[in-house]
Amino acid sequence: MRELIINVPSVQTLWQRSTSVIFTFVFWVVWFFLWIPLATLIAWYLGIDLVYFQMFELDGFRIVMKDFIRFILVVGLLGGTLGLWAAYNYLRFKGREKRKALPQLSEHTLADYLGIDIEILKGYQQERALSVKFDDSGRILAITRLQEATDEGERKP
Amino acid sequence: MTDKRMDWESLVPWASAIMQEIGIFAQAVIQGLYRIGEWLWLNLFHFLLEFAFFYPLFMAYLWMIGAVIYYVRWERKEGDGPQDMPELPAYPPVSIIVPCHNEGDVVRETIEFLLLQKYPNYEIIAVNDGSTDNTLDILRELAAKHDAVRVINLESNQGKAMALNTAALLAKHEFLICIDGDALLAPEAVVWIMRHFLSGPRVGAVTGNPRIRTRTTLLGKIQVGEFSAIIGLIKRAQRIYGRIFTVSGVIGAFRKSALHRVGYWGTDMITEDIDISWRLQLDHWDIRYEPHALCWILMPETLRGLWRQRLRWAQGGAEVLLRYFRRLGMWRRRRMWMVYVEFLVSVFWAYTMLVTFLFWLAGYVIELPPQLVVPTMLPSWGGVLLGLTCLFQFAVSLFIDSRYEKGIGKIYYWLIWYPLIYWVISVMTTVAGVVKAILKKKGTRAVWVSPDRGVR
Repeated sequence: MRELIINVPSVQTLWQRSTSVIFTFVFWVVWFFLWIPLATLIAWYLGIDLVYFQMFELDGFRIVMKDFIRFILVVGLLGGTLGLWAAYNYLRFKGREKRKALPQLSEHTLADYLGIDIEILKGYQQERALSVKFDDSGRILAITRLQEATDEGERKP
Repeated sequence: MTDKRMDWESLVPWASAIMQEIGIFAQAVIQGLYRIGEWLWLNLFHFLLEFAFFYPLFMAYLWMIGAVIYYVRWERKEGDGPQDMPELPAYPPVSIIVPCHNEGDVVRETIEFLLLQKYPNYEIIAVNDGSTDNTLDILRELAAKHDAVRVINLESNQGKAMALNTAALLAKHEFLICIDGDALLAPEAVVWIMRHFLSGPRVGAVTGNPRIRTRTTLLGKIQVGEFSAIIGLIKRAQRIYGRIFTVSGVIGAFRKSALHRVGYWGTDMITEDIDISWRLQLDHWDIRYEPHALCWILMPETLRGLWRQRLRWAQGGAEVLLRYFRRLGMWRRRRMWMVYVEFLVSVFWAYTMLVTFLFWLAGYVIELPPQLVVPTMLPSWGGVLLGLTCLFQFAVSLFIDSRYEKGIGKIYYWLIWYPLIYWVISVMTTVAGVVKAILKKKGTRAVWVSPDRGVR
């Protein structure tokens, strides 16, 4: 049996593999770039002066903090609402299944639905191989037995 | 006569004054409307920009929080992994249905893997749906060799929904496990799935946990992460909410009596899995998620294959939006409203992103007023937030998902592509999928499309 995980880099060309690695590396660099403002802040706090990084204005920092707190509040509101809803359902329904169990689908019901005799339906359900013919609109026209391949049949030239 | 003429003449100055006042008033109203319009337009644009950026971030945190609640509430108490199967109070017989269309390369492996199921009583119904390759011959051979295997041959290509319907009607048992013809169902999966049907009389369906086999290319690796970090989190969070958007098309289990009540699968919906999920939940059946029911699947590893697949998913979602809009207008169906609204908002987001992108592009070609310029992400605190969110999301999904797959952490190096790939493909397929859904002729039957099965 084949392996569950299929990872065969040899199927790809060197160019394809290299491009994937290079572009992914580039995206990690971009991701690190996203952290520049935070890195600037930390560097400034630590007293590190680097030519590229600029000093962060206190007023600007206040606005950022205000926006960040608003963001956290919205996330908290959304998550909290979901959590409260889950808690409500837990307290209301835990261990209490008020909804009735419906009976299993009976063969009579199914035979009526298909418009066939129940014995015919049972026969179909026992058959190992069936063939179904449809019309253009997808209605079943006929269900017949499909002749099974036998081991002897396979060995014949 | 003379009196009337004199009355008319005396009214003229009055009329003139009134007209003047009306004119001034109308001018003020028009100017006011113009200013409101201008304010709305500029602020709407600003609102849309903020929405385009923050919506996926807020949703990411919502999925993460929901997934963590699910994990704490259920998952961490459920044994040491998929191999640690629960003891069931009973083992009712099940029918495993495998619809196939041109699966000659893979179906033998699928069926032989199914025969390893650690469940005492089951039948396998392989449905050949008008295949033009040797699928039928292989299925007949397997049926001759193994007593548990039955074959149903549809003499003409009828589509997956019809294949499932036919098999469901001819199956012996009440519980149906439906997998794709190229999927490998883990041997413990049926046990894990059946515990839901036995513990909940109103459980109409259970969706399993698809794991991706095809990981050769970058796209393959990204999708591994996507299924773990996005789809896995979303399914868990939706279970915490209480309603899910869709069962997984590749591994879904159903109660036949529930299917019978809702009329089985619709043959005119391009994604029959989303459609059946909505039918069942609108009929007040529960759909559960079972992360231990692993199913190893093949996913597209070319852009073309991925595009076609995701376009089909987007179109399917849009078709469901259009079809079930009216049916949701009932108080007793209120629990589906949030699922509907969330999907609707995600469609709106896709179009917003398109508009934002077009304005961003336009900013390079023509000079836009400053309020209409799309700001860049680098470097900005918005960018920090994006980076932070990526980090959290990967960490949460890695923590939750690692029990199902050892060594999945290696994948996370490649996931850095994910936001771009997801946002671009999701936006484009949603924009195109909605249009296709609207333009689709009513009653058009969905037929099989040969899938991209990855690099092997």
